[in-house]
Parts: sequence; C-alpha cells; structure tokens
Amino acid sequence: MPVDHDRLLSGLRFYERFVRYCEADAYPLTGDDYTNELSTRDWLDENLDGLTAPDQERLAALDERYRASTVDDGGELLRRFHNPRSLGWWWLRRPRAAGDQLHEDWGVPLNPEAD
Amino acid sequence: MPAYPGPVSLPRVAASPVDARRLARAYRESARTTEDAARQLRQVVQGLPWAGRAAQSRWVPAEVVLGDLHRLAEGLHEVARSLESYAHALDKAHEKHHWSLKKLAVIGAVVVVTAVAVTVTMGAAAVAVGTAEAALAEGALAGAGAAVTAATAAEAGATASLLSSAGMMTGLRVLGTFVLPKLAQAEIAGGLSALQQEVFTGEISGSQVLLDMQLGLAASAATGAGLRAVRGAELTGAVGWAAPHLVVGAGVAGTSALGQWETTGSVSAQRVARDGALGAYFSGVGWTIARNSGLAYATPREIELSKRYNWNNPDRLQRHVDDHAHEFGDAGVEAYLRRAVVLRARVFGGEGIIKWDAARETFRVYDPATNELGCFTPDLKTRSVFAPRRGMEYFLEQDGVVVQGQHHVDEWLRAQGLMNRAR
Repeated sequence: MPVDHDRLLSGLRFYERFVRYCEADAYPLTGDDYTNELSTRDWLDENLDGLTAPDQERLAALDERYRASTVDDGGELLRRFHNPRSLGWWWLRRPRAAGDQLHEDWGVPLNPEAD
Repeated sequence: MPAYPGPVSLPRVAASPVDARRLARAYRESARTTEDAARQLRQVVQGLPWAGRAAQSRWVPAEVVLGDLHRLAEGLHEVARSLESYAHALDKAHEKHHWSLKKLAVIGAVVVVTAVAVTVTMGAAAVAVGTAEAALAEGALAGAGAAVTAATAAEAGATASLLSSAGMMTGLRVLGTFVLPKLAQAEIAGGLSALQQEVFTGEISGSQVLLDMQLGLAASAATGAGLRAVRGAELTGAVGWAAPHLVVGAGVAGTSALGQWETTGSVSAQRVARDGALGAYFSGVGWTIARNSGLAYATPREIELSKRYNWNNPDRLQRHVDDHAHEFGDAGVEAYLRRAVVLRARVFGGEGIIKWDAARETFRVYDPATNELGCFTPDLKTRSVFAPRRGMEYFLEQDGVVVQGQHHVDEWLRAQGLMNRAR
C-alpha cells in the first residue's frame, strides 16, 4: 500500500535530523533510538517510488552527508546490537563519535581518529 | 551580732551554650557549602573548552570569585569559632554560678531564681557578719557574680568577633545572597562579556568582565524566574525552543542597562538591544552545543519530572521529547512521560510484547495495537519511547529474547508470510 507523501516527507526530515546528529559527532539519544533512525532509512528505501525526483535528490544528498560523517566498518559494530533485515549500505557504517548515552549503551569507545 | 545584710540580687547567666553551639554548627555548614561551591567553580572553569584570548582571560573573573568565596568561607569559619568559644565560656560560667548558688544553699540561704535574676536571702540561717558562714556566703556570692561577669565578657568577646568576621565579609553581601546557586550563570556572564569585548573591541578588560559577572549574578535570579515560568508554560515547537533564549536575552539586556547606569550614569537603548540580542543568540548557540556535546543540562524541573515519572536520564529528557513526542501527538514533557508510564503499566500488566536483552540489561516492549516501543532499565526506568516507522518489523530486529506476548509475534509473522522467522 503506497505511503502518504506527507509521511514520506516526515521520514525525510527525521533522517535529516539523524544525519545532523552524525555530523556533530554527538548522537544524543540511546542505542535503540540510533538503530530506529537507521531503520527509517530502510523505510525510505522501501518507499522510494513514493518520493518525487526532488525528494530523491534530497535523500541522495543526505546519504552523502551520512557517508561523510560516518566510518565504514562493514557493519561490525551495529551487528552486535541489531539484526536488520535490510542489506542497506547504511547499516555497514558506524558513527565517528557519539554522545555519552551511546557510549554507555554500546559499551565501546568510538575513536574519532579512526576515520 | 547583726545578721548578714540581705537580700542580695544578682543577674542570671541567661544565655544558652546549646543555642550558641547550634548556631556555630550552622555557620560551619555554610562554610563547608561555600568551600564546595569554590571547588565546583574551579572545576567548571578548568573544564571550559575555550580557546585563544577567552581561554587566557577565563581565570580573571574566576579568581576574583574564588578569592571572595575563600574570604566568605574564612569569615563563616571565624564566626563558628567565636560562637564555639562563647559556648565554652558560657558552660564554665553556668558551672561556676551553679556551684556558687549550691554553696549558698548549704549555708542555708534562700535562693530565688527568676528569668532574669537570682535573689539570695540569708535570713533563715541568721548568718551573722564576721562568722565563718558569712565569709563562705560572701565568697559564694562573689563567685556567682564573677560567673555572670565572665559570661558577659564572653558575650562581649563573641560580639566583637562576630563584628570582626562581618567586617571580613564586607562587600560579599551580594555574593552571599546569590552565590551558591548562581555561580555558573555568573561565569557564563563573565565569559559572554569577554567574548563580546573581544568581538567588538579586540580587547578584554578584566574590570568590565568582573562588573558584568557581578551584574550577571543579580540578573540571573530574575532570568531564572523567567526560565521557570517558560518551562512551566510547556511551550512546544519553535516557540518552545526560542522562549528560554529570549528570556536569557532579556536578562542580559537588563544586565547591560544596569552596567551602563553604574558605569556612566546613562543607558543606551541601542546597546541594551544589541546586548540582549547577543545574549539570546549565545544562549541558543550554547544550549545547542551543550545538548549536542553530551554536557549535562537538565533543569531542576526536568530532574523533578524524571523522578516523578521514573525517567532514566533527565539530561536527555527534553531531547527525547523534542524528537519523539510529535510521533504520538503529545504536547509537552509531561504528556510524553505519562505515555511512557502508561505503556510500562500496560505491557508489564500483561498486554503487548516484552523482550529482555541480557547483554545490555534492557527491557524492550512493544504494543502492536498502538505502535509504541519502549526501552526500560532492569528497575523499569524509561530510557526511550518512540513510534518506529517499521513497527513490529523493527522491534523484531532488535536484540533480546521474547519473554511475554510471543503469540503477537507469531500472529504478525503469519500475516507477513514469514512464519519461518518466528523462532
């Protein structure tokens, strides 16, 4: 069933906010929130047809920013906490750094120098 | 032989050493609180992530405040010491007085004690002048009088000492009134002042920074009241975001006006407006940086609400509300917190699904009927509540073992034609 365009735009805004957090190297919420945000990227992917061309361009630009602000680790980190059905490339990246809550939840240091 | 002349009246040692010690303890406690505040301030200033000239100047106002705090603590300790000495002197005076009166009773004198005086009459024993009993009575009366004199002297000494301590703390009256809860705001005002000076003049004046910081102390009380009012109004959206920063801006504008009046005797409306706008701007920027950099920023209200609704991390409460409340159409913090409490009660009461993630010691719960997903600590404090866009599918991807509501999972998997993934 096609998803309402307004809902898709809301999902885009949600993803944009997540990307901004990643760019700030300070994701402020819990690990559960983090994976939920990435899951929204899955949802956008599943509903790509509902996005207009400009929306898709906006999504592509956000993806670029997400790539630039995260590190490719082959999904090693996130796999420890989440088992996504999606094979999206976004699950194969980890944040460069994170807020104290994420550190606490994941129990692993995220080294900004590792990039 | 004439009887000993009487009756003789002596003032009482009315002051209580217990009261003096109680007051001394209160002063000691205040001194320790002041020393703690100084330690906290030093830590805050040491931890300020400022660079360049602002970093060099950060200790200018801080050292002044630290010096004042040191003097304040010393003064409070001095008052406590004076009161303790006074209590000790009173103890001795009471003892001596009591001992003297006891002797008079042995001799046979009639001792009448009122609230303010002790009256001694020798009549019953018919103590004659020049006898041994008369000499004893005279010695006892002299002893009682000396005790009163000693107590009076102790009181005078304590008074002098208190006045001396008060002198030591002269100039700290404003600090004494505001300092403990307002130090952080003062530091921010000082830092903001340094930054403004650097931006507009390229120089930093220590005295201007100090003046702004002291005015900041006073203004912060009014700003704090404004911020509490804004919080209480439960504003949402852009208005909710901007309102506290506008309050801070108004506080800075007020500080600017006071500062101008104090230094020049006149007030420039243009400068007040500029300072207020800068205050609001830097408040917004600082707030955003603090929220995004993991610094603690919970307000007293957020701490109180977190306790009331069993929310795990008050420092992140507002962020969760900002990010998730709209997913449910909740207006404000309390609506979001109530949702979390109701979800917890409903699911742990038997509805919905519960997963236990032993590795991260987290309960994850999901109500398929409402698409509410909650994460809770082992003692059931809420860590987050949100509405996942992919609903049950996302919940099932999360780690953990289903400990309640497996039938909901099976039902969903059957509907999706994914039953093989059920176990």
